[in-house]
Amino acid sequence: MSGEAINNQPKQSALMAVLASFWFEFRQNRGAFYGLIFMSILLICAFLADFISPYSPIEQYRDALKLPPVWVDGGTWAHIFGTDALGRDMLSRMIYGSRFSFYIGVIVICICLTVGVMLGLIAAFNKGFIENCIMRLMDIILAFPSLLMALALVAILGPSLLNAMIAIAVVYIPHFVRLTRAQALSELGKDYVSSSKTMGASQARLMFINVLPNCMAPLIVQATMSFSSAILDAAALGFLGMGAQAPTPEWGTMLADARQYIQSDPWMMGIPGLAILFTVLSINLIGDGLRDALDPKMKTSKT
Amino acid sequence: MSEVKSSKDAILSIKNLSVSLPPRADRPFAVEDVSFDVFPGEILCIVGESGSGKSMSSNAVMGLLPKPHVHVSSGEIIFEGKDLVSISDSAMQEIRGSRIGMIFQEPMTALNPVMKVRKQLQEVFESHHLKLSKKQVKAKIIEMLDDVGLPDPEIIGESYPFELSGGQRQRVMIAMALALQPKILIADEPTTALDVTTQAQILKLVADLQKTRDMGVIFITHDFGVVAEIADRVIVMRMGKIVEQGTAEQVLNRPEHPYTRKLISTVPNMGAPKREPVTSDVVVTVKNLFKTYGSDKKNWLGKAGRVVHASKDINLEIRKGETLGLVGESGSGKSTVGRCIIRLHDSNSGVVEFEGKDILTLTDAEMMPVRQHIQMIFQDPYASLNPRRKIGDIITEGPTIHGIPKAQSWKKAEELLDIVGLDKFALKRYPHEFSGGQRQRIGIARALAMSPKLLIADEAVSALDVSVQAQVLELLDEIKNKMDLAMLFVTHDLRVAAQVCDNIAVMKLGEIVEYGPTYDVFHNPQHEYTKSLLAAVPGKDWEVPDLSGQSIE
Repeated sequence: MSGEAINNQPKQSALMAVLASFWFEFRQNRGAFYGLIFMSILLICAFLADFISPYSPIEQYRDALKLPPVWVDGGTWAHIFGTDALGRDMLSRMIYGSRFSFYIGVIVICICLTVGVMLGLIAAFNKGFIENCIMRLMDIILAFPSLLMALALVAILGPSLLNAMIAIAVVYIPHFVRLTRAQALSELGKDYVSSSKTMGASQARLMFINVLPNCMAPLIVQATMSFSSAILDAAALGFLGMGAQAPTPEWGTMLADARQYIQSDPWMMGIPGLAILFTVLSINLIGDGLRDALDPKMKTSKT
Repeated sequence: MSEVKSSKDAILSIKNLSVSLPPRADRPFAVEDVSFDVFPGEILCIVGESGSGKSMSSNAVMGLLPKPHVHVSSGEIIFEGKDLVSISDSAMQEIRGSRIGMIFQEPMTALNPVMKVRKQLQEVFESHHLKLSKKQVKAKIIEMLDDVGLPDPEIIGESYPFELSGGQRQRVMIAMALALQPKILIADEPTTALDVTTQAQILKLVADLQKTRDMGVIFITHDFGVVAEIADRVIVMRMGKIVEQGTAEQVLNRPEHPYTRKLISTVPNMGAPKREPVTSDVVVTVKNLFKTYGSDKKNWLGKAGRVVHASKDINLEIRKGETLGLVGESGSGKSTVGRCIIRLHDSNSGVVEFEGKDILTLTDAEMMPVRQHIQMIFQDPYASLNPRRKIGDIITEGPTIHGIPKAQSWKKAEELLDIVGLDKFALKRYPHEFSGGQRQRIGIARALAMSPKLLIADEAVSALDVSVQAQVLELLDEIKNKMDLAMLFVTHDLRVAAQVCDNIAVMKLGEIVEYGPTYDVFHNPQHEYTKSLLAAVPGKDWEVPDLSGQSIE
């Protein structure tokens, strides 16, 4: 028992050292740090939406339609961000909307990572026909403008949030396939892989135990960057009426609902618009910071 | 011994130079309190192992330190009466190139790949604002290319760097460095990336040019053979400090400092000892092995591809306890043969008989039991260990694949680490925590974990410093004798081959041109190519002194 404790000691401290150096690198990047703070606040909102939002996001307050936010003349503290055309509390909708943003991002990235990494590894390990099939298919997907492609897919699958997420994932998969394949190919040329081959390692072993862990750093960076694009695309689909359907408090759908009031009540578009902007910006800043910390090759010179 | 020269005659004198490193480096100074002089008409060699600060001191002279992290913290560099440490950047730029020339290790990266050779040479004149007409410059460029021994200087001038061979590129670099008749030429490992025959030509060229132009040359190298070949004076550096300096004859034959003695005692001697022929059982026989890269099939445009014959009709035989050396220059196909035997590459035709069974025709499943008995040690100790796995997992990977229980293979890994001279705590650590030599030991332990009968060492010591190289060679020899292994030793280094191999096969362009006992091949070479290879080994006339009995660090 005590022997195990002693053995675990250096292991733990080594992990701490790795994390400490990662945190040091990450903090060097001011933007990433602020991005992380913003994202943390948003995450807390998403998790605790049931407790912190003052009203239900879909309840309509018929006596307070199109109320402006509190800092504009006529605004009240009862509805800090005002209400929309149906009298729903904007603040509550924003807080619940953050949930959907994370939901979209996480699901899309999960689909992209699993499918993209698998296809990328298969392509890298099976040169020739299989590789050509996979890579040409990816080229075809990339040849379409991404939003158009997603729109077409949603049109086939039927408009709903889930289908929008699937469509967005399909659009982003080629990036992951290409990245994984390129990274895996460069790792395959290294002698540690040859060594495993001489031991008689199976292809699955080579793929998942030897090669994949060495491809993770750029994939993590790509995943973060795609996270923000997925949110953006979902908002765009929502705006076009192909994503989340009313009364779901999704930011893009909220933008669409507010479209006709842009002249008279601009805050109804402004608030969700700014929320999308800052979320995407902070995720991208975090992505930059991650890249600096994880992938020294892509590091931008600071001197 | 040459007459004592005073600092007054020196063209360059470095006094108490220290170059400081950033705070988180492994030592405070890259170069610490270094003083030396360079005289006209001499070649000064700076030798040392990697990380000894030998390149840093020359970069300080050129003002090429990666400022502001690394900078000269104290000392003077006096050149033509001026202190190069304190002069302005623009004044330094004037001196760089025109008064002091420099050539680098990697001629491909030192030349601009998208610019013709003539243009690049022209730039040298333009950047130093010389008043020369276009015609004069053109004539000058051709003269320069001619001086460095390039055939058809007109054609070479119109070529891009990728069209030239490594040796030709290095010649162009030298022409560029010497374009403005500098007083001093700094050569930073200029022949390390070149083949041995090309290296010999470049060394001769540098020595000839130095004589005709009466330059001072600072030649940085890690290879004592090169030192013996060209040096007038030698400086030995270690951890940023000079441990010994003196004439070449003094330092090479009567080294004073224990560290110099240690370095020189590890240089393998050219004279191959006479060995008893090995008469045990044959482990592996290679018959008529052919391997080509590329294909001559026509593509859809009707254009035929290029075919490279990496091995043509190779016949070899290795017995139990025998080391067969496979030597040759880069591109001779020596690594390909090793990789075909272990079936990392598929060969086109031929037979590899391992213990009497042809293994080239086996299916993957049938091959599995054979794989245990053939193992490989790789060249680059940094790329051959998976950076994301612990040493224990790396060593036990093979046994795990072959179904040996984890506890058992883990115990064996501990024993193996002990054999290769590492602590068993290494099992729980990651590759990046080890030095190059230690990693190579781990690579050897990994190969031994499979209890092989045939070990293929593919340039296994080429990436290591000379003292580490000697230790690893010793270890390999010990293991071979203890376990009675057959070993295929692939190398480009004839000195190493002379020391470790029982038999030698010399390869050229995919063919074995000479095959026989090491002693015979070295002392009575038959083929022209073998003769030229042996003649090109730097410092071949230098008999490495026997330093046993003297204090060695």
